[in-house]
Parts: sequence; structure tokens; C-alpha cells
Amino acid sequence: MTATKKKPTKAHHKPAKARTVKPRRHRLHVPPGGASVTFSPTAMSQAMVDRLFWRAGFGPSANDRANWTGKPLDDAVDSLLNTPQGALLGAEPSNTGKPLDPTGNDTDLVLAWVDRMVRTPNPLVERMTFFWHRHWANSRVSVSPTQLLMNQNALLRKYSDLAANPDVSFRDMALEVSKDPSMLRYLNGESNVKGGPNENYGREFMELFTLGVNHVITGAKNYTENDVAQLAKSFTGWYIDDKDPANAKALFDSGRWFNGPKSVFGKLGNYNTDSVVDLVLGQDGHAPYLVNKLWGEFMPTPPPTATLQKLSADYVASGRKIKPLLRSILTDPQLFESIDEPNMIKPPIVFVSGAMRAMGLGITSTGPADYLDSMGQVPYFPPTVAGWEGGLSWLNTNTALARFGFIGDVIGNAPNGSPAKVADVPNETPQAAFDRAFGAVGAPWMSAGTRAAIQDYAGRASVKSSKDRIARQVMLRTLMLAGPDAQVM
Amino acid sequence: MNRTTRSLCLAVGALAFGAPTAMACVNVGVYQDQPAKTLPALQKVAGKNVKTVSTYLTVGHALDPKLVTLAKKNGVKLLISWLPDAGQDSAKAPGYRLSAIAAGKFDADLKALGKQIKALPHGAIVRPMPDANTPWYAWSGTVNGNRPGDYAKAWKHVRKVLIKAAGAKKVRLLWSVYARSVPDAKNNALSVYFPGAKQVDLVGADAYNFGNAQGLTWTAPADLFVPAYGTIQKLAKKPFWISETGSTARGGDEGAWIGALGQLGKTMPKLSGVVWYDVKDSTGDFRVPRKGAAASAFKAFVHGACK
Repeated sequence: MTATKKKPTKAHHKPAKARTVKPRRHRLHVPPGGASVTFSPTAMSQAMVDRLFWRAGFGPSANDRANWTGKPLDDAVDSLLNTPQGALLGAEPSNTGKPLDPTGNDTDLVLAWVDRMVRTPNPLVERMTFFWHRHWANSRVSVSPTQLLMNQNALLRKYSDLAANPDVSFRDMALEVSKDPSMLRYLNGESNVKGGPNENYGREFMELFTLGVNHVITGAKNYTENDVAQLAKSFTGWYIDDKDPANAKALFDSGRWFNGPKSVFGKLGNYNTDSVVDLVLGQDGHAPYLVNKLWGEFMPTPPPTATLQKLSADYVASGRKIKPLLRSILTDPQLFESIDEPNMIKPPIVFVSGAMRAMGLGITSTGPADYLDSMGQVPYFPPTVAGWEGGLSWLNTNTALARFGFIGDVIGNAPNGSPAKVADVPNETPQAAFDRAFGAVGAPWMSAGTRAAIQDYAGRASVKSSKDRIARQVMLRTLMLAGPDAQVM
Repeated sequence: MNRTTRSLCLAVGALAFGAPTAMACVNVGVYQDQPAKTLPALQKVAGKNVKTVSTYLTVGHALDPKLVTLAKKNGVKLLISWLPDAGQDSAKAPGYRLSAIAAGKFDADLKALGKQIKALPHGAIVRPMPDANTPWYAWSGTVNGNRPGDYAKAWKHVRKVLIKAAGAKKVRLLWSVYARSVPDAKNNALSVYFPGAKQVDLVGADAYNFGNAQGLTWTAPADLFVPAYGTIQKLAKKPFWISETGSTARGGDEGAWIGALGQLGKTMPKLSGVVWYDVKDSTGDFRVPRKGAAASAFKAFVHGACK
């Protein structure tokens, strides 16, 4: 056998002896539009930081953006969950120069809570407290003295400050709320007695607080009218001692309790408040109902069924703890859907508190409470026991105008010394005016169309006088904080 | 050690070892169509620290002597994007598939390039086959009969030949992808193209703020680069280059955008270089701003850069 030299099978590219010089001009290709910012859990984009801090708080601060852009989502969520509320920041609130008097008038009661939202170092605590207020909705209209509601507010905060109380469960909360003086008064638990049961709390406990009428996944009925009647009997026995309103207590009187067999969900037992709460929370419909409701606080579209089932199973396995469930929801990729086009309407309380935080303002007048009323959401005054409807219902011709009016009022009528006070800058170009306004209101998200329209306004507005220039600046800031894009998060 | 020698050492050091340690300066570079003509004017306006010149070299062609002169006489560092194709961006060029590169079809050219680099006082950074996770080039993983997995083989071959020709001290290889994969598909993910930490000296990504145009929206630097940075740093904790970027002024505050670019080192601690696309083309006006607040912002950015 003779070895033959193999011919190369590949033609090699041979450069010319003297390679030519031909400078190449580099030109760009435009990537497809759409989601220009993708979900990146290991290194959050600024858009993700903004989304997280709006949904779990009242909007991002410059520090939030600096601290968390580029950092893992898990770390940011853990920070929110593990940072105690601590002392409130900034100046104490006042109402036209006087300290707030929450027990003295209802406006101050409302302002005192808005103040917490504006000054809290960890906004998640107040967002969750407000969520529970929407969930276990009690209204000042039916609850007196005021201290009962204030104490309930502190109770709800205990289940929201998950750094201070990491192991709290929904079961513990349901038990405490079922014996809470404010709830006993609001849903007539104090008049629910042996021989004269009042079904209000028993009905709402299942319909609104724990199960829902139908199973969220299967659609099956969760309870019957008989279950309502039997549940009401189980909840009997409680009355309120509010001689000292600040330390009002719920007391159990066995003589008022229906001591006898009750059949709930077809199971016979001599139930009382504790045992019947456990029975209800053990129903298959409870976990998906609560998971779905908590999810809906942060996302406008419901969870996929598989996600709902997993979160429900994890929730039950954890002993119905709140913190791990909340962590799973806040780290879910769906929180960041439509990241370059925010798709959830800000509730009025988030809109107002967020705007005040963005401008560095504190409570100094009744304005926030008054405008919240016009926007349709006054804390401590839910319209029904179901809380506020939310979603698209937040915006109509009246409420949208109120949102615009609030921002315009806060900026346009800011007193001297207020961070919102607008200064005149002579010879300011339209772009410089736009930039100044943008910085002053916390650099909020704006769509391309809105940005262009506002810039167009900046170029068209009259700037002949100091008054004109200030009016332009006020309007720019108002458009940025109250225009269409400022309504979503 | 006098000032000149010290600067030289720093420059060589930066090139040889990539980015210095945390909080180190960032190298600033530009792409210009004719840098020999226009770089001095830019340096006059923006500052002398614009020290890196990015150039695009089609396979089979030699480095422009004017660039070599810039590197030899003006202390300019070269970032050479090596483009194995027929001389224009094309996703249909069967003779230039990744498999051909891996098989050694262009070795002679790589050797010649290596020799040119070896003769440069500070060597060069070479960026072979950039942005392979887009559908725009002959070496892109999803077009031209290529498969994304072919890229790493081609890369390893290019690296071997180039380093042998230029010497490991004179050439640094920058692995650079488009910050957002197009298409955004699992088989086209950034990681699919990564040849291994030992195969790269520097890593990087490209992205632009086209502004509110072309169906895109104004996008902050962090939103352009931080996600890709996170992904890439998980692959290899190497000095990171923003090897192509720029912003138009359409629909936003270009000065603020540049200011934010200058702050990226805080969230991207391995950031080692930024190359600005100093061109007005059909997709937008990306030229370095020469006046107003945006120009001041760019000047401040350059002022804080590596000297």
C-alpha cells in the first residue's frame, strides 16, 4: 500500500500578499420593538426596581433605584420583608399648624395613617397593613369609639411588619380579628348571642374573609346557608368592654355562647370561635381564595392555575404563614409583566402617598384626606364590608379630575419653604424646564407619547414673565405626576 | 519613573490585565468613520481621555495604516472587531459560516492580523465575531446555516491562531454579544455563545438607546446593560466592556442619559470600558454631543475616565 498525499478538502482563504486596506463603516441594526427590558431576576433593571417599589410600596426613591438596580430580585424582596418598619422619618404631621388629633376628628384619623405611608422607612409594611384593612374592611361609619379602629389598625400592622413578626400566620390573624372589638362592633358580633344569633360575621367570614362563595379553581360552592347559620352560632359569646376606649377589650361570656352541637360543612361539633376558625381554614377552598386575593393586590392579572395550586399548597404546608406566601408572590416573574408599559392602576392611596413621597412632602393640611375622598378611597371608610372594588373602577371623569387637582394644588399652592415650592428660573430653555420638573417629581416613568406631549407643551408655553415661567413649571410637574402615565404602576 | 513612563505602564497594565480592581477607572473609546481625521477634534471638545478607538476589520483586509499611526504616535488603544464576511453585514454568506472559521479557513488572515498587532506598542483588544446572538451577520448563530453551538468552536479556533501570531501579551480577546438576544429564544441565549471563562480575556455587550423611534422607547443605560451584565458575570467574572453604545436625543434627556452611563460602574463594578458610536446614521444621530448640557455630561464622563 502506498501512502498518497491527501489533497486538502477545504479551500483556505488566502489573503493577498499585501492585504488591502478598506476601512469598513459600521452601521447599526435596529432590534425589534416591544419588550425592550426583559425580566432579569439576578440583576434587576431600573424598570424592575420601579415596578417592585410601586407594587410593594409607594414608588421608588432615588436611593431605592441606586441600591437595587443591578441587584438580585430575591435580595430586594428579602430586604423589604426583613426590614422592620422602625421609626417614621421626617417632620411630624400637622393639620393647619396643629398636631393631629386622630381620636378628636376623623380627618386627622385619616391623615395620621397617610402620614405613616408617607414617612415609613419600609413601605411594604403600610402597603400590607392597608391590604388587610381592605380585606377585613371595617368602617368608621359604624365603629365608635375611634380607638377601636386604631387598635385594629395596630393589629393589622402586626401581621404586616414581617421583620418584627416573621412567623405570623393567617390563622392567628383570623383568630385575633374574630375577637377584635372593632370587628365585633362593625359586623355585630357583640349582638350575636345564644338564642339570638346574628349571621353578619359568620357570613362575611366565609364569603369575604376566608373562602369566597365559589371555589376559585373548581367553581364549586364553598358553603351553604346552613353553614352560615351554624357558623354564626359558633361565633357567639363575645362582648366588648370599651369603658377605656384606648384599651378596649373583647370578653367571652359563656352564658352568651351557643353551647351545643352545630353542623358546619356536614361535620358535627360543639364549635366555638377558635375551633370553627380552624374548621373553615381547613377547607380546600381557603388557600386558593387567600392566595388569589393577596396576588391581586400586586398584579392585575390572576395567577395561572398551576401557580395558584403551588402557592396554595406551599401556604398550607407552611402552617398558613404570611411571610413565605408574600415572598413567593413578590418574586414571581408575573409581577414584572408588561414591564415597559405599566398595567396596573394606582389605588388613590398609593397615588397620593407616592406623589407626596416623590416630592418630599409631609402632612400639613387636610388636603390629602379631602382629595382621597374625591378620588374614592378614604382609609377607615371603606364603602362596604367588601372594601373597595379597585381596578378600572378607580378612574372615571370625577376621580381623574381629583387626581389632577390634588397634584396641581400641592404644587401650585405650595407655601414658602415647601419642597414643592416652584422657583422662577429666567432664560430656562424648554428642555431645561422639562428636566428640572422631571427631577423634582422623582423621575417617574413616562411613555414616549406622553414625554413628547409634555416636551411640546414646554416649548409652547408662554415664558414672558416670572408668573408665566412658574406656571409652566407647575404645569410640567403636574402633568408628570398626574397625567395618564402617572395613573399606572 | 517619570510621568510618561508611568502613564505608559498604566496603559499597558490596563490592556494586559483588563480592568483594574473595583472602583477602577473606565476606559472610554469611540467608533468614528475616520478617526485619524476626527479623533483630535473630539478629544479637544470632550477631553484627552478618549483613548480607545474602535474599528471594524473585514477578513482579508489589513489594519488601516492611519490607525496604526494613531496607536504608535498618539497613544491610542485599538479595539478591533474582526468580521469574517464579504465586507458587508449579511445573514446569507455560505462561505463564511462558523464551521468554516472553526475549520481554519481564515487562519492566514488571522495570522497576518496577529503580526500587525504584535507590532503595535500596546497591542490591541480584538473582538471576533461580535453580536452573534442577533440575526444580522454571517457568523450569527441562528442564520446562515449556523447553529448557536458552533460559535464557541469558532471562537476557540480564532483565539488559538491569533494568540499564537500576536503573543498573549499583545492581544486580549473581548467576547461581546448584543445585550438583548434577537430573537429572545432559549437556543439564542447569551450563554449559548459563551466559549468558557478560560477562552476570554474580557467580556462585553452592545446596546443603544434609539430613543422614542423605530418602535422602541427611551431606555436608560441601566436597563440596557445591567441584565446582560448580570448574566455574563455569572459566566465569567471578567472585566466588562460596553463595546458599543450611544444615545440619540429623541424623546429624552441625552445629558441625563450620559450622566447615568457614567454612574453605571456603581452597579456594574467590573465595568472596564465604554465605546461610544460617534456617528449619525439612518437609525439616528448618535454623535457625541458637542454643545449644551449633554456635551457637558459627556465631558464629565470622559474626565472621570482612565487617563
